[in-house]
Amino acid sequence: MNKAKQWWHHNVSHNPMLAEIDRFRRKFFSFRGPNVQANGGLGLIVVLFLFYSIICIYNRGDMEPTGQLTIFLGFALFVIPFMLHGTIAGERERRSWDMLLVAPISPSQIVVGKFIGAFLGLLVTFGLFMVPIFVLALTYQNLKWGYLLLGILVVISQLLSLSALCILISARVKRPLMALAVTIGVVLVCFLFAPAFLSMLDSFTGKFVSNAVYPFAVILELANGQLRQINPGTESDYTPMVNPVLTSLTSIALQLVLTAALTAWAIKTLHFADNEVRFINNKKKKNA
Amino acid sequence: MLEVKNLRKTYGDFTAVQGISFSLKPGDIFGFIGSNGAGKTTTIRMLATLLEPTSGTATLNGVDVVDQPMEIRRMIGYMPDFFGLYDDVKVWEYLDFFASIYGVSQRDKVIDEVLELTDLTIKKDAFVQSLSRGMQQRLCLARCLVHDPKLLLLDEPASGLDPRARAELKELIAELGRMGKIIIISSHILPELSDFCNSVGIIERGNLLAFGDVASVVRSIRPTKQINIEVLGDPDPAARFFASQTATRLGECSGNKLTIEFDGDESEQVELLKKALANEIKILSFAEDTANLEDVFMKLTTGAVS
Repeated sequence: MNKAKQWWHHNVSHNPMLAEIDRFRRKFFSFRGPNVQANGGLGLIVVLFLFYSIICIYNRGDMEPTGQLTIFLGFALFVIPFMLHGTIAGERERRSWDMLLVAPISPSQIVVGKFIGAFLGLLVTFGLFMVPIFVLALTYQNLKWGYLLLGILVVISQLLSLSALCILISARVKRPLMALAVTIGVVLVCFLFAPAFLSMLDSFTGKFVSNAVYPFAVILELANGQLRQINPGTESDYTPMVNPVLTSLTSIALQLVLTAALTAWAIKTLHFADNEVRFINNKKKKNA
Repeated sequence: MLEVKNLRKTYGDFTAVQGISFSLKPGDIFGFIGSNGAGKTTTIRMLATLLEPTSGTATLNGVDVVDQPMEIRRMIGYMPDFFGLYDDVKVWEYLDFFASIYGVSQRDKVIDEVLELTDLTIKKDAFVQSLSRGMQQRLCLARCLVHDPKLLLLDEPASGLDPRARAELKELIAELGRMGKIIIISSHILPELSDFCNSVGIIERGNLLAFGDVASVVRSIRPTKQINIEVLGDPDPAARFFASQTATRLGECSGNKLTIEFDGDESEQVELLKKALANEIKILSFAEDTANLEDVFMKLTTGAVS
């Protein structure tokens, strides 16, 4: 318990790298930056968001809100690699990495600080996306709020693991473009090819265990649960699983474990992947 | 006080730095001179805790670089031979980021101070990418200063700068030296270093060939003074006169110019000139040829790299 407290104090509550939160905000959530592409991208997202909000408001009462979370998940899968591929690889490329290494911060503080900066940014974006979803939720008849909450948690856990994955790849790869290509490749494999393959296997076995590891399926299952609740007897495209709640919780737990593992891996990676520099390990000599 | 003892760095069979030793006290501005690949950057990176020495020690105010890297990092400001700036932020935001990483209290005040010191106050709200090269260099230096370090490690700080920017940087570094900081500057531009460094070290193939204050290093390669003399008309009487004097040795003679090596102090040098004039030697000019760092560097080094 004491160790966990120390870890929290060192890496979260008293981590100087939390300054990354502000840098991330200025970089991705502000129009006053000098980067025209970033400003254009942000503008496009704002326009799409407004358009989507109008659709939601227009169809309030008819659209099932939980299933809408898959839209944000799809958006996140597409956008996160573009936002985070340069988190560490970019520092190496512009050679600002050395400045961080000579600062009085540990590799874990660097990784966790960058992770928190990125994740909080995504969380704020998700919060904004939730505004039209809540309009739908408040106007939808007999909504199972528990299912919506589970869906939200599934998305958040997915954001966590995606952020950790991007940071790990960025820490292991030297160039940002290479990091982007690898991240997109991994996302395609994990969210397109592997689920397709698993569902093919599932169709043979009839077990549908892959749904637990595939967040889109989990959210759609929750949405179908809502629909079945409202219109009993309605068959959805998805075969009901053992229990959508159990599957959601399994998915959340899996994503959290994955996040912890990927972050730990990224922290370890910093010891040897920093541009032919053998970083002095803070603990090694003290223990010797 | 920085003390470096037998600092060595090897990569397999290859030795980049071969056990160098030196010590510096507060206010020292140390010019680290060497060709590309001589071992300057490796030494600086070891002092900056970026590279682990193979053997030897380096301590700053008694704190060991390898044993307590975190403590050392709080006490050093490292400016690499590249800018490594975030170009999508404003000048004050960049400094604020590093000030918060170093846990600086009263960040706004400190940022204003370092901006004033580096003459960047007017650019406080400018984006980093809009700064000129010289300004970016000064911003790098400002970043090194936000946490008030005891030791500044500046790797090739003047490379790529125009003459005005170099002059400004030189002035700034001299000011930092007066503030009591230990400054290590690596450079190829030797005349500049001799202007404001009070000690120098020449490194080649990882060996520190010379170390000391500029005058003593220069004296080490030329123990006797060299005086260039220009006479009016026939140089033979002058040559005969100087050859006959004690503590002088006639060197080269060309046209009406001759060179002598003189092994005396300044008052003896004045007496020699007086004596020559009394002997009706028609002297047009009589000047000591002071060796500079470039001469020292050329004499001590062979141009070989590790």
